[in-house]
Amino acid sequence: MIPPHARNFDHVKLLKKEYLTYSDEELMSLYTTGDGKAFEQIYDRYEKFIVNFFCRKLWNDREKAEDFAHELFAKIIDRPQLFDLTRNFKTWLFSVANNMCKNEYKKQEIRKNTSYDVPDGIQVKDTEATPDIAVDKKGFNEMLKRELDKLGEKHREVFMLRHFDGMAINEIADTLEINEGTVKSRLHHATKELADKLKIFRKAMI
Amino acid sequence: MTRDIEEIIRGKQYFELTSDEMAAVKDYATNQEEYDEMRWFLTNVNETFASEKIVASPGLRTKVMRHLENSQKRAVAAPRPLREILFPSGKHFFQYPAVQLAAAAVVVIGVFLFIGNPLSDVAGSDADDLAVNDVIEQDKITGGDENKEAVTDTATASTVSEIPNPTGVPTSELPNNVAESDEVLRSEADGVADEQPVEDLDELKLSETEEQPEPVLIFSSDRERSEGLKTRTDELEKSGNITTAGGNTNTGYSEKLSQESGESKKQKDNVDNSALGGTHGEVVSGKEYAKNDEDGRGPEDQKTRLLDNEISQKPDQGQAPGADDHRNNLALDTIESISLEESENSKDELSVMGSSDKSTVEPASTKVSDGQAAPAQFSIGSTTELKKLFWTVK
Repeated sequence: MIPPHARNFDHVKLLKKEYLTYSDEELMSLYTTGDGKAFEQIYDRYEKFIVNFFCRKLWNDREKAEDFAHELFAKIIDRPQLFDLTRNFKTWLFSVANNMCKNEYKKQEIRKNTSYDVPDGIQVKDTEATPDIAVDKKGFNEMLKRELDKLGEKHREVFMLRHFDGMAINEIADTLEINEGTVKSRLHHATKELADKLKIFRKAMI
Repeated sequence: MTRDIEEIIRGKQYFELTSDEMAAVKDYATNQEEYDEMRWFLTNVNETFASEKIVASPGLRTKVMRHLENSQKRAVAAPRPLREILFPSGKHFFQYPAVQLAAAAVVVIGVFLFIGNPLSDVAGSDADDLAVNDVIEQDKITGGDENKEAVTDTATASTVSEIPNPTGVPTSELPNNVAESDEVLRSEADGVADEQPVEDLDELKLSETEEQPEPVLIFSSDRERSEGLKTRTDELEKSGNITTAGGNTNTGYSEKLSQESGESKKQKDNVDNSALGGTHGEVVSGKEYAKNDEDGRGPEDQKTRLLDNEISQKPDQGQAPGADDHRNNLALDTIESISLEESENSKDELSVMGSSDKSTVEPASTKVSDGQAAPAQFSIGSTTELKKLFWTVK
């Protein structure tokens, strides 16, 4: 069964291809027919998200994150038919990445530091704050990491996908293969708890 | 909705909220103080996460693009598997080449099965034509001498038919004296063979090629007839069996013909009628066929039966003066009637034999003088009576 967005695609081939206007699914449909530039467009859209996702999930190991990102895109290159054209490509991509991380967890057998750490070599954006404010900002970040670690895995994952990866509720539900009500409940609980713990920095930073 | 709530909280002040937005953010903040704390928290979390995101190294893109190029080169170089060719992805069921090929095969097979092969029909018609021509050629080749005789027979038969009846007894009133016989003497085999349909002649021709039939003897005069009777009587005396008097060469042929006429009586009425109706030349042709015929008795059988009874009853009535003469006269009359009818039938059949363009020969029924078709039957009571008859004639 051909999805509607892929059926009306042949007539666009004759024209100049505006890959930026194509949806992820249309680009994948093009790539299955041998269009390499469609894959390049997909790569440009998701390279940053995937690398940061792996980096966050794999103990802030940048090199390992890039290796995993390369492995994931190589899978898409070699076997594009794995993607079901009826599904949302973004959620499918992150679900595949999440499963890769789970396999890595099993392989390592030891859960390393899954807390939210700023990778080494990453420069925190200079906010041109005063030294006191900068100290408070750094204290906020460290406090945020600790409180995230204190949260349960399920609540932390939903919160990170929502605020770090910028996913919508339904996308989080598809990626984690849970229903949207559960996502909303977990997200509300994590947000309220972190906001309550970190409100002490508000008066100092304002 | 949750995303909208967070965006509303980050984008608007508390006093800017509408009643609907106020109801939506009620789960996160019930008053302005909580709303401002939540707004500060969400803004700092987004700033923190945005500032802490990493950028992938250029080497990652290079490796991935190199992998893409290698994959495309392999895809171009290596042929696609048969399954992908026959069942390509992204197409409807009826657009699969395998389905289309199967449908075309079904159509072709159906045409050959249900409509038939026109080439075979053409070949069959040619074969039929060739078979007919082959029969004609064989007839010309193998039956050349017979054709000559047939022409001669035609002339003699016409001559015989002109011979007046010496006895003066109408032929329709002549009795048939041998109707009760178990063996039926049939007329000449060649005449029967000529009267066979063309398709039935193939088998007969094969036997003819192996064994040449004895030529037909038809007499054109009383002298020749008496000489022929004498000759045949001598032969019967020598052989002792009248059914084999026609010669050993014709015995197998006659048996075969008798079986065939008995088996395919319904299907080949014309052949049977011609064979059974061949009263001409039973004795003179030298080709007698023995057959039990209980059903095909006609008026002539009744005549022969009456004659036979008359002959057999005369001696029982005592040795009246002139009884032997009476018997001899009856026997002579019988033979005369046989010969006359035989000559008429021979004329009819010979005229048919002369028409080679006919594929089938009309049945040669024995015709009597009043024009009624008599059953094709002539029988003699038994060999003993026949011997008596010939001895009497002699």
